[in-house]
Amino acid sequence: MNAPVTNAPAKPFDRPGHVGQPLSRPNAKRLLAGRGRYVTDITLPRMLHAVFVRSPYAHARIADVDIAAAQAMPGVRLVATGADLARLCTPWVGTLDHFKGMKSPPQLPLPLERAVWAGQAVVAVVADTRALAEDAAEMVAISFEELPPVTDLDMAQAEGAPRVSPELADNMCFRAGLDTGGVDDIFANAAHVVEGEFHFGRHTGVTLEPRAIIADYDPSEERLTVHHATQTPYQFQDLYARHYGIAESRVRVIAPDVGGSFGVKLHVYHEDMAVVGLSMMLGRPVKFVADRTEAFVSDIHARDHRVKARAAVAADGTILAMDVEDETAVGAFSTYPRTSAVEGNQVIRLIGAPYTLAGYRADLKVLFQNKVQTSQYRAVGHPIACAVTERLVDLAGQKAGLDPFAVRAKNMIADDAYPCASATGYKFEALSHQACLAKLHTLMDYDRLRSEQAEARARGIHRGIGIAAFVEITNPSPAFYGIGGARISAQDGAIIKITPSGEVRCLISVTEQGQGTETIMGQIVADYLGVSRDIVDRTSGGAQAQGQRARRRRGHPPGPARRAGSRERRNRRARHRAGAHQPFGGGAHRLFPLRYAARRHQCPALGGASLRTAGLSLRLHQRHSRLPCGGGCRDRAGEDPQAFRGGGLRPHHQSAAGGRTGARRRGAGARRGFLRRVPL
Amino acid sequence: MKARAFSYVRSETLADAYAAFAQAGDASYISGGQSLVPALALRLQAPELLVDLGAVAEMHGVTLDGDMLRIGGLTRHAQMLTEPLIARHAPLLAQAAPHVAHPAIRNRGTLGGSVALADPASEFPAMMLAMDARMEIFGAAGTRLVPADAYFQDLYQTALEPGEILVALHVPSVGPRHRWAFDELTRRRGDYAMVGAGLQGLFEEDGRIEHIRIAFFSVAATPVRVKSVEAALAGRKIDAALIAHVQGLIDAELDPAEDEHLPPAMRLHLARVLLGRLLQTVSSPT
Ligand SMILES: Cc1cc2nc3c(=O)[nH]c(=O)nc-3n(C[C@H](O)[C@H](O)[C@H](O)COP(=O)(O)OP(=O)(O)OC[C@H]3O[C@@H](n4cnc5c(N)ncnc54)[C@H](O)[C@@H]3O)c2cc1C
Repeated sequence: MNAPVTNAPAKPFDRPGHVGQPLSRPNAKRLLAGRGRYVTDITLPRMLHAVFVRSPYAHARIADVDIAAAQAMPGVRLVATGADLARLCTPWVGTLDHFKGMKSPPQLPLPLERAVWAGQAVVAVVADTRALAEDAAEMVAISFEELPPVTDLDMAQAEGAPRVSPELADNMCFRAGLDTGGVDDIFANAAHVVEGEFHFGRHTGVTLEPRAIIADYDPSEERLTVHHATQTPYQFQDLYARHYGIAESRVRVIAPDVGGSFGVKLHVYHEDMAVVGLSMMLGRPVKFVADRTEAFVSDIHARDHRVKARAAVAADGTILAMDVEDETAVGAFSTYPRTSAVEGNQVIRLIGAPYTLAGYRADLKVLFQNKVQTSQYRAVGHPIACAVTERLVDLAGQKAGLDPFAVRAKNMIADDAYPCASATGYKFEALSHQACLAKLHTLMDYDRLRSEQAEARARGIHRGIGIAAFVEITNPSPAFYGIGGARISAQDGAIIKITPSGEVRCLISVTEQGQGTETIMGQIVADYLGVSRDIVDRTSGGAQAQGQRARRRRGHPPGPARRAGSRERRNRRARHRAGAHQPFGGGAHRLFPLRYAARRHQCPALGGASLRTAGLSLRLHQRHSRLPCGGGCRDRAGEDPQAFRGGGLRPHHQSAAGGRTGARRRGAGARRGFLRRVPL
Repeated sequence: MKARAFSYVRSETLADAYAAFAQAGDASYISGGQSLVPALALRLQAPELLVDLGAVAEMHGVTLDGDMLRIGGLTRHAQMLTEPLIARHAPLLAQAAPHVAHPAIRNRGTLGGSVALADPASEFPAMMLAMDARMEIFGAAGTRLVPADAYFQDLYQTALEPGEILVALHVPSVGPRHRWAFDELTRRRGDYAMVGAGLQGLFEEDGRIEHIRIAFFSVAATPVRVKSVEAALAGRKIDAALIAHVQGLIDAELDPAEDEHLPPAMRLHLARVLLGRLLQTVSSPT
């Protein structure tokens, strides 16, 4: 699994020191000591607070909005409606070009005519304090005329159903299919057919820190600074610039400490877009922090699916084919810019992924309804695909009289079959389902558990044992969305500077929201340069924020690792003396030889980006890292569970991050996509 | 989530508090604030005046007077777990307390506040029924005692008239022949129960039940006793057949409403399970 892919150096990381070590997080102490700085902690001079009056109806015409009484309330600076913001902000449409036939109505920060879900922000009130703004919000009088809402999958597809968007022909947002061919024949001739219908209730990510934003527009320079609890500052720099017509170079998005994201904090939210416009209208910083009740009705939801699936099974338990219908009900429009269709798309592509299938067919329907918008949330589509697949596999085992382990062992892709592709088209580089299943069998002491289970059953206690295999998509690169026209991580990268005093400053675009990004980057950079991570200072999370937040974070590796480290350094020095290629060889705390930093280097390996030295700073900035989609796929169940604690980088942090779990894999990811070893 | 602006007064006597409340017209008492403050923050309530009862002397302290334990209304939930007099004389409260919310809330929330609010899913109000407690209420005509059976009237409605103060709870002390048990079913510890119940009974030396009071919560608009079950148990010794018999009476006794959490049939099922467990517990001496 860790075998290098194309054009990786022959012997990467020949000086391991940090990668692979269970190191403490350099930022953990700061956060534990309460010295985190979240958007909520930021108070800017002349800052105002926004609150939103929300629709109590799932679907209603906004007949009249009376803001006069609210405007007259103490401390109120602005009451804005959809029309006010529409004058500043261009609409957005949540479709991706490569999803053929996908449709979604244009969206604005606040609606003009209709509210389309219960909880949608309709009017914004800006006042000196949040409390005053809430007082005034109570005085906003909106006359709603209720319209028939669409509230489930069947309603959305019914003949003559109300339409969520009158401008669209029906409630179908996107439809897609997959077909290897021959599926009907396989089913017709199979010894057994097993099937099930699966309903998944809506989920949402509940972060400790809610969504939070301060937009600070300075009309004198036409400059917008946004302090944003987000996973994707570069994406928002692009979006705010484009939709508000500000030059990109004058938009700065800073993601300070972020208290959890889980995919919730990378979508365009109407309130967030509105806050930018409110700041422009007022020429003052405007803050909005969603409280928990608002989060429930405005943070993206996910996983509202109904899946009908069946599998054709041979008499000996071989699973021959799967046939799947996934219907998913999203919000009243598709979320921008990642859309609300990726989840369903991944469901139909990930079903059956760990298994060898001769045939596969899937039909996906993504339907609009009058509910909170949906989009990417943790492990997009994976849990649904896994639940459906594994249930079918269990049923197949039951039909064929095979134990759950046996039916899986029989059908899994063989460990020597790689590279190969799934029936749905995902390319796999090197997975190890069989080895992993065997290891699981031993680790859980399956036979003992089974006998305990039987013994408990005799006492009336029903205890279940569940086994699941899955393949997780990781590291799909900026092309994942880029191909559809969404500029999501096109600008991700890292800048490494070496200071005159011999310290390393690493500025990374990907953000840290609790999953250890900064630790990982520190490990990679320290090992790559052959220095102690104590002298690597990492700064994350800001489009154009580099250099602004440079903070000293001295994390010390635990004692034994330190000692091992110094032994390693001695070896390294020995190798260096022996002439091994080591651009920045030398002791951890030694100054960098100036001669390296004074040269200028072209670096074709970085896709044409130049590796140049500006004064004493060395810049490694890769703009586009493209990875084969399958390259990062792996079998999660096959890894040490320890590795998953604390999570890793999600697929959304594609480019700079590399793989997302154990440090070893991080290193592998780095080899492929991020810091290539560059001959200096 | 910010409360609307309000005025605040901390009274030192019941009379002062009562007068301040009456004068304001739109006032709320505040004890531990664990139910009131969230309601203010959500703007579900927006009184002009908060009358803080925290400094009223008569509402503090736990004392034993003959066979009656008097628990001041301001006694915190956490004290149910630490107060020796409660452990000795009103052990059902001590048994219920760990199931009420979480430590931080138990440190502030008060018994008086809980019983005054009378949330139908709350533990302590139901225990008042099971223990046959009396509520000491201060009102225009001075102080009166109301038995638990007459106190809980409808959803969040009690014998408290507007402006009246729940001063203390009077609980008959348990003796050597009493047995009691408490249990509830929750999805997560600290949540309000899907179904909960407590019982307390006087048992004969030979194990027969002389009389017993069984109170359920989270099954109706108020905490409720299951009187047909109590009657069927009187004079009997608990065994499997008796348990099965009285479990069968639950359906006729309780009529839970449909809500977004549980269908009525499931609540009834859980109530039967719980009743069986509690009776099993007290089938041998506590
Ligand atoms: C997260 C959370 C979980 C919780 N879980 C549970 C649980 O599992 N079980 C449970 O039972 N409770 C639970 N509670 C509620 C908690 O127990 C409250 O403390 C209790 O219901 C009210 O007591 P209080 O002293 O805080 O009253 P307050 O909040 O101060 O007042 C509650 C109401 O009673 C009135 N009031 C207060 N004292 C008096 C008085 N002496 N006389 C007349 N009126 C009065 C107030 O005006 C107000 O209307 C929970 C609360 C929270 C925040």
